[in-house]
Amino acid sequence: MKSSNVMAALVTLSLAATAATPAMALENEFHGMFGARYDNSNFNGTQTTDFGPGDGTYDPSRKTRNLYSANFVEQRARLQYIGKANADLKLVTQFELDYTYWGNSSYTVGRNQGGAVGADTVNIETKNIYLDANPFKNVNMKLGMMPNNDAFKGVLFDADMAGILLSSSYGKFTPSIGYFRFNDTGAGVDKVLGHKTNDMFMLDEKVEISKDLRVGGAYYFFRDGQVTGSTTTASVGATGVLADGTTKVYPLNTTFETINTANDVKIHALGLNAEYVQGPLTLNGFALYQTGWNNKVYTNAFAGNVGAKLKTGPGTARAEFLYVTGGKKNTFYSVFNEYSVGESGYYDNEMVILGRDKNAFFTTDNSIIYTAGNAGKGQISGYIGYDLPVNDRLTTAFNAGFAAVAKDTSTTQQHKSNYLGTEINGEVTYKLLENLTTSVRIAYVILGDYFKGVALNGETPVNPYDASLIVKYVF
Amino acid sequence: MKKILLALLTVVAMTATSMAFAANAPVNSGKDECLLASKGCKDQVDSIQQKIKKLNTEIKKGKKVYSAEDLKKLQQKLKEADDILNSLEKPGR
Repeated sequence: MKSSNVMAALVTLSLAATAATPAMALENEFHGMFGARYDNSNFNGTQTTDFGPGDGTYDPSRKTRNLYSANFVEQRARLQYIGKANADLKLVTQFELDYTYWGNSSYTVGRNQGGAVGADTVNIETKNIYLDANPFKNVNMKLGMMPNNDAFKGVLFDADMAGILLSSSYGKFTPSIGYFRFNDTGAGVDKVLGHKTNDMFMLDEKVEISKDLRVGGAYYFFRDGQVTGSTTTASVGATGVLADGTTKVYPLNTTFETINTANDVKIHALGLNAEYVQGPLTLNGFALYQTGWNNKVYTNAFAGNVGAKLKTGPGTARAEFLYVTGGKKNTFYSVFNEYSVGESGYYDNEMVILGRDKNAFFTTDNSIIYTAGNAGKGQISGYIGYDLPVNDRLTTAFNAGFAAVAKDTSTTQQHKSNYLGTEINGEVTYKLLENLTTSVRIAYVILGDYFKGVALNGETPVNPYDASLIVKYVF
Repeated sequence: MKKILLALLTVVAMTATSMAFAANAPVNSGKDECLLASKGCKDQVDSIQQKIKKLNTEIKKGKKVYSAEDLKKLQQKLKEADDILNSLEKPGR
């Protein structure tokens, strides 16, 4: 064979191989989760939580002492696709499809809807779309809508957020720097983007002092100037009301002025954290200080935590303590303090009713203390627990929690005490199949005197309970 | 001759790459375990738990098998896998 023919053959082979190689180079990763839970409760799904003014936080005030127990089933699925070009470049996406409860609606459009007969509802939620790349040696970049949580057990933020996060690793040092945009309300106000915003800048550093000791420091700056509403005033008073009873009638040539109301938050949060491991014992904790303006109130707030885990006997004992300041000038700032958008969460306490439920991978998400700052009241809380694995398939966990508000700021209701209550809960989880678990979990709270006499006619509300049967498949 | 050779080489090259995709895992009993029991399918991938298990197994082999840099990469991949699992099970509305 002539050399030109050999070359032609080689070129053909190379082309064929090249054509096949790119298709093989991309690694496609699919993961997902399905969960369904039956819930019987006088807490979740009642007017003290989901259908009450608190929208997430427990509020039994001015309700009848006894409430009907709710019975419902909710379900959630998450699907994750990761397109990996190589070890240094990947696209991460995650979607969520859930029903708040079976039977809620059908043939409609909306998140968490479509659980009624017929289904046919547009309800897919996009949680994450971000690029994860290592553009330089030892530098990782995440860009887009990503999950991000603070270095303080989630008391500040634990949410999906759009931004850029650069992380690095130099020996024992792991620094990170990031910028995130939470909201931009400019489009609806003065048609200009970028100045009516709610943003966060973050710096984080972790240092491995020794094999047993790791310490870290972090600084977060929250700047919230987003527009939250508006008020319109007329140059002259109304002369009447239309038949609908609400629309006012003004004289001709009346001029109207609309003034936007905007947040004005400039909060600096600075903290230290540490973890120490000595044999079967793990100790961790943090101290976090905040200072700055929170809507015309200059605040100084503090949060402190100590946690411990000890492998003892056949299982692991746990303990947690959290203190957060309360009061008008000591209100702790979280993302955000409002319940309905509480994109933060302290879950290490393993509570179900007293604190946010770590196992609430569902839409139903209620608790007595919803955010670390506890609506300006702060908290003093302690928790103990024990994880007891029985065998490869069966595990159990038992917890108790004790919580009080740090400062009662209520102006509308007198409370007999700052003590919120004591929770006891237990969970039994059985692995039915590889990746498929079923668990039974029961929680009961003995309400403290903070709730004494707050129900209708000065009565004390019954103690809340929650019993769940959960089936979960993760792959 | 040249054309025939080129055509043959092209077919061989394409077939060789296709073969890698077409075959399921070796079938000892003659049964197609992929159709029968969803095992050994050509496109089967690890679940997140399997991935974590495999990474832990490899990390335990330590410096006898892996260099310090390899171990660091495996630790990083383990952290990524843990993050994926946490993200799937993360509570919230």
